Amino acid sequence: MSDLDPEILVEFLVESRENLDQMERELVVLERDPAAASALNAIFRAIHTIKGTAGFLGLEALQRLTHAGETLLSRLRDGELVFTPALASLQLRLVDAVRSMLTYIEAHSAEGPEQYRDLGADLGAAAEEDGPGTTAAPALPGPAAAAPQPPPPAATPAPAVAAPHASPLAPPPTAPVAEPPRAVATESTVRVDVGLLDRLVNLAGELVLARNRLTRYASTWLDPVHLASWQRLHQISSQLQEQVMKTRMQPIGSTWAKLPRTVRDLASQCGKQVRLELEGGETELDRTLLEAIRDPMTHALRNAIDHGIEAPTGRMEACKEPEGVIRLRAYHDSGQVHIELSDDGAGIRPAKVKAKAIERGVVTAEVAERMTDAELVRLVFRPGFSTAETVTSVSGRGVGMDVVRSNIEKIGGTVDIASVPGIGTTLHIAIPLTLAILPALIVESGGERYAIPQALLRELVRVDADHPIEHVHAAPVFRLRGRLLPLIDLAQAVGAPTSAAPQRIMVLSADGHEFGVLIDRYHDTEEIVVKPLGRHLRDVGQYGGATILGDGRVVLIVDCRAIARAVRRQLATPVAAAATTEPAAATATRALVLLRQGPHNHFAVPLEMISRIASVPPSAVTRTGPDEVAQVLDDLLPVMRLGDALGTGADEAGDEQQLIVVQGDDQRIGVAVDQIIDIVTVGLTPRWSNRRPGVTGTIVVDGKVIELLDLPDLIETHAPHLLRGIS
Amino acid sequence: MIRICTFTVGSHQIGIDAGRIREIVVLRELTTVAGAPAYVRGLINLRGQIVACLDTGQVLAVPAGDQPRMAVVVDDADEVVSLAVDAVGDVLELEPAHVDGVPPTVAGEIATRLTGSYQRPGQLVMIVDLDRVLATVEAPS
Repeated sequence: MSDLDPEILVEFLVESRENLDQMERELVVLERDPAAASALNAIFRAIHTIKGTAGFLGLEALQRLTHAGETLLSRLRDGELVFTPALASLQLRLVDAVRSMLTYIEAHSAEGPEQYRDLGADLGAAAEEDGPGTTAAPALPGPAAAAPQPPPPAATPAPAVAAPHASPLAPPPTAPVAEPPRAVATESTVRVDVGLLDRLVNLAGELVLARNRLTRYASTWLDPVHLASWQRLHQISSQLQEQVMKTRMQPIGSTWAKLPRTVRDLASQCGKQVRLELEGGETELDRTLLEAIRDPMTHALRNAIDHGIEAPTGRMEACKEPEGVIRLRAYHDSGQVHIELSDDGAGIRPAKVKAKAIERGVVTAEVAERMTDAELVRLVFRPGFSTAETVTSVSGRGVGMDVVRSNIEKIGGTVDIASVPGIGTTLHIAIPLTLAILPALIVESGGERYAIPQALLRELVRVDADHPIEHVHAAPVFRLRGRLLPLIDLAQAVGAPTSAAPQRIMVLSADGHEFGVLIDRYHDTEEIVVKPLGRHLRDVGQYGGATILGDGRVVLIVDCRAIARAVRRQLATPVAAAATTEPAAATATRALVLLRQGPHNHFAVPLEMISRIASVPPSAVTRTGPDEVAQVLDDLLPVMRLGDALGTGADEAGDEQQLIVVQGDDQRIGVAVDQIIDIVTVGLTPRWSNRRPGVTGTIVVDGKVIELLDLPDLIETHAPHLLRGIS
Repeated sequence: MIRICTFTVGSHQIGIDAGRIREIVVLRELTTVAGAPAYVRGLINLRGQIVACLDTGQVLAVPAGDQPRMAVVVDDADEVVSLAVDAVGDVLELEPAHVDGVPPTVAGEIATRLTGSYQRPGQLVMIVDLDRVLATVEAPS
C-alpha cells in the first residue's frame, strides 16, 4: 500500500476528518431527537463516503469497520432499529476508532495492525438485533412522524437532504446517499494551502504599507496623470487587502463542531445534564484568531459544566429544569467579534469569591471589603485565584480563568464576567477581527520610537505644572482623577537610555492593573503589520515583535504586559532588604505608603486605600469650629490629625503639611501626618500584635517595626462626624 | 575552485564563502534593541523584511570597528541575518590546495570559528565557519 498517491491520501484524510466532525455533531442531535431523519442521513452519508474512499484506496481494515457501522446505520435509517443512547455511544466509538486509524495512516501512509475487531463485532451484533421498527412503525413517536410529509419522489436525489423532517420511517431512495454531499460545491470552491494564504495576507499588508509610504510623496505631486494613477493604486491595494483578508476568514462555527460532543462527554462525566445551544456560528474571524481562542473557549466551557451547572437534583430543588443550558453566542459589533458563553447554573457567589481570594492572598481583606459584587466576581481572573487544590478531572488543571484572560489579552482582546447567584453566569469575550494588521500608537521615549498596540491603551495624559509627576521617594506617581497611578518610564522599562523630562503619560491596563507609562511625545496612530523578531531576539521579553513604519524605519512593538511586570518590579526594589527580614512565608505582596508621626513612630498605609497624597502649606489648614479643614487644590477637606487619633502627641510644625487623602463613603478626608517617607512593596505577613481600633497589626520593614493602619477604621473610631461631611 | 568574499572587521580581514552570501547592503538605519544580547547590533529593514544585524566582532571574538558601514546578508537556518562589517574587499577565487589551516598564531576563541586561512601579501584572510559562528551565538555559553 506504499504506492498510495500522497496527494489523494491527504485529500482523503482532510475530507474524512470533516466527515467525522459532522458525524459527531449529528449523533448528538440524533441522541436528543431520535426521529431527526436529516441527522441520520447525514451520518449515513459521512460514513458511506469514508467507506467508499477507503475501499478505493485499498485501506481494507478501515473499509471493513466503516462497513459494519454503515450496516447498522442503514437498519436505523430503514426504521428497523430504534436509535438509543447505547447505539449513540457505539457510533461515537466508531468515530474515535476511525479517527485514530486515520492518524496512523497519516503517519505511515499505510494501515496499522487491525485493532478494532471488537468494535466491528459489536457493530455487527447491534445491527443483527431485532428492533421494534420492523413491525411497530406507527408506534414510533416524534414530531417528524406527526408532520404529514408526503413521501419524497423517488427519482430526485435531493429530498432526503432537503426535507429535514422527513419521517425516518419512509426510507429515502437508496441512490442519493452515495452522492458526495459537496458535488455541486466543488465547482465553485478550491482547496488552498493555508501557508499560501498566510503569505498572501502578509504580502497584501506589505503592499498597503508600501503604499502608505508613498502617500507622503504623493501630496507633492502636481501632475494629474500621476495623481490619477496614484489614486487608482490606492483603491486597488485597499480592496486587494480587504479581499485577501477575507480568504482567511472562517466561520467561528468551524471550531464548534466538536463542542456538542465535548459537552456531552463532560456532562455525563460530572453526572449532569447539559444542553448546548449555539448561535451565530456563521460569524467570521481570522483563522489565526480562531486557533488562539480554541483553548480558552474550551476551558471556559469546561468551567461552566463543572462549576456552573448544578447536578440535576440541585436544579430541581432550585425549581429549574433538570437539564442545564449553556449558550454560546457569537456576533460582530463595532469591528470586533464578541463571544458570550452563558449558563443558567448556580452563578458565582461574591461572598465565596471574596473569602477564597483573601485566603489565597489575591487581595487583602480591606480591599475586598470595599469591592462591589461585580468587582468581586472579576477576581476569578486574577492570577493565583484558582490553584491546584481545586483540580477536578474535568476543569481544574492548576490553571484558571487567569489563563483564559491572559490568552485573550495576548491577541488584543478583552474578557469580562458577570454572574447572578442562582440565575447563571455570562462570560463575555471581545476580540479583534484579525491580527494581521494592528492599530498602534507610535510614541517616542529616550529618543527612540516604539509602537504601542492600542487594545490596552486607555488614555493619554499631559504632564504640566498643574498636573505634575510626583515622587514619593523613588517611586513616581501621578494623580489621575483622585487615584494614584504608579508610573514607569517607557525607555527605562525596556532597558534603553532615558531622556530628561517626559511630558506625556499613556495610561495602560494589562494583567488586571492600570498604570502610567512616561513618554516624551506621541506621533500618529498607524496600522502596523506585526513581524517576528527572529531567533536571535526571541528571548527578549519586552517586545511583541517589530514593524516597519511609513518612513521605512524599523520600530519595536512594546509588549504592554511585560511593562506591567516592570512596574511591579520597580515598586518592589526599594524593599529587597525587607524581604530578608521577613521570612519567605510572605506570599501576598502589597504596596504600602510608609509614614512617620511623632519622632519615632512609623506607620504604613496600603496604597490602594489612599486616593491621593497632598502637600499643602500649613496656612491652608484652618480651624472651623471644633474641626479643621484643609484646602487641597479646589477641594475643601475635613482634616483628622493622625497624632490626635493615635495619641502620639502634637504634630511637628514644618514648612509643609503632608496630607493623606482617604475616600470615605461620600466624603473625602485628609489625614494630617508628619512625614511621608516612601512607597514600598513588601511580602506581607502582619503579626497580629498590638491590635487596636485602626491598627491591624505590625510588620517589619528594614528592621523597623511598623504599625499597619486601617485609616477608614481609624476615622470611624476617632472622628466619625467627619465622615458625615461638612456643610 | 572556491570563491571567498573578503571584508574588513576592525583590523582583521575575514573571508566568507561567496555562495552563502545573499547580498551586501549599505548599513543605513539601524534600530537598536534594548535588552538584546550584546552580539545583536539591532534590526534593519531589508526591503520590507526585518533582519537582525549581528556585531561581527562579537560573534568572532575579535575587536570590531566603531562604525560598520556595510551589512552582509546570509541565510541562517530558515531565517536571514546580517553581519555588520567595516568595508567590503574583493572576491578571491582559490584552489582548495591554496587554503591553509588555521595558523598557530591565531589563538583563542576565534580559532574555533574558522575553517581555514589564506595568506595574501601583507594580510592574512581568516575564512569564517559561518554555520559554526551562527550556531555558537545562538547557544549562550
